[in-house]
Amino acid sequence: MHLNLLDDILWAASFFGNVVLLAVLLIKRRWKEFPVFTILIADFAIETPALFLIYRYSSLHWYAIIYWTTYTLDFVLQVALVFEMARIVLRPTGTWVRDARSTFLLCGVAGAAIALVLTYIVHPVAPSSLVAWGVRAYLFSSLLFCELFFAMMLAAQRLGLVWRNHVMGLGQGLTAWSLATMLVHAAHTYFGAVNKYVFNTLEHVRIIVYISATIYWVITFWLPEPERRPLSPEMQKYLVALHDKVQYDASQVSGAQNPR
Amino acid sequence: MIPILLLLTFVVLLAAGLVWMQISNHRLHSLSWEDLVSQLQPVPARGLEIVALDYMEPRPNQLKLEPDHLWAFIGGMEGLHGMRRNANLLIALAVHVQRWNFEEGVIVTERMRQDAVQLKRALFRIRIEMLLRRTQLRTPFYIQQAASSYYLMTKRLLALYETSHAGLLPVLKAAI
Repeated sequence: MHLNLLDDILWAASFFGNVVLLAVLLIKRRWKEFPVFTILIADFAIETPALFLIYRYSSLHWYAIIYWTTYTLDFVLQVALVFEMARIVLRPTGTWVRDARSTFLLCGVAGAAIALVLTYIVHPVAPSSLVAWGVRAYLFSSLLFCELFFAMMLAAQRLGLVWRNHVMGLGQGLTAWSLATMLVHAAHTYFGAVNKYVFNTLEHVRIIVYISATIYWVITFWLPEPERRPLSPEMQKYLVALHDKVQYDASQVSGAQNPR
Repeated sequence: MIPILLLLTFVVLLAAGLVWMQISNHRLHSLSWEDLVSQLQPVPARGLEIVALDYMEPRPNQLKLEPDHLWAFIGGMEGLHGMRRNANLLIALAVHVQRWNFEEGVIVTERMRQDAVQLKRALFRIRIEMLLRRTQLRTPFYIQQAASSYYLMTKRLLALYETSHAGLLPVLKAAI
């Protein structure tokens, strides 16, 4: 197994970025609002040196097993991160804004189905079917993540929800990273995993974008955001009742206009 | 080749959508109160009021307003576009009030958000009817719904500013 200097530098920078970001999230107590994001970064911080050491000093077999296990965990955490952001953005007063959940879930499920079909029908150029399925797995996870993220933003935009500083910074970094990941994986599907030079170059681009996003997150989460006043329990109850009433009224109006 | 083209189309659309969302989100987030007000598009306020009140406060001779009249009163396609663009700005202006009058600001913002959902739904249905070129039997209902929702949004916002920051009210009234 051979690693060049650039690989070493990028892996070291990625690890360092994750550690600094994790420290900021813990020191500034941002983990309280973003627990899933903090776990994801902690996971990356542990995973990067572990994979590096296994890649350097162990066999390819063990590397593959650990790699795909951690990849599955990363994927689950990334999907959970989208739901964490949805919880913050689409529930500004502690209760789901009417229509937000349905728009988000409807767009999410429709997009997931499209991503699944597209992943299945493409035939990546690969030396074996196992590698081809690996490329498909990458493609599907990146498409799904981008699509769920888009669905969440669409639901928020449709309802005129104003994002606060931290969640907006997180969203901007995620947009850059998820776009780079999706484009690189789509390119892998087209160019295949045969040409190592093209494959590695694309991976380097993806990692550089991730490191840039990490730097951006470190700055964003280090800076404070205006304090939000908490809502009293009475206000919470009133808002829940207001949402229920509007939901009921809307269903009545809709039913009266569309009797069929 | 076709699967790759389909994949490419999906990827490009998704990427464009994400970038556009981020840009519009960032733009709305960074606007000051004055910017928000200055970005409000002109809409025929009096015409909208006539259509909205005709819908919300029924009086004898309810068929007085013909579909053509409704369309003219709301300012046609330009009026629809204006309402669509203004909806999120009006909500952002209500969010702004939360710094002076938190509790009322939160409640009114939520109510306006519900109105905006009705408004956007009605506008979407009008667009679909026009796109499909069906017999536009339901379009007048949707026009009335859209006008009423928009009218309610503006009334709620003005009332909120009246109790929370009357000093800004004249500028806001003039813009709306």
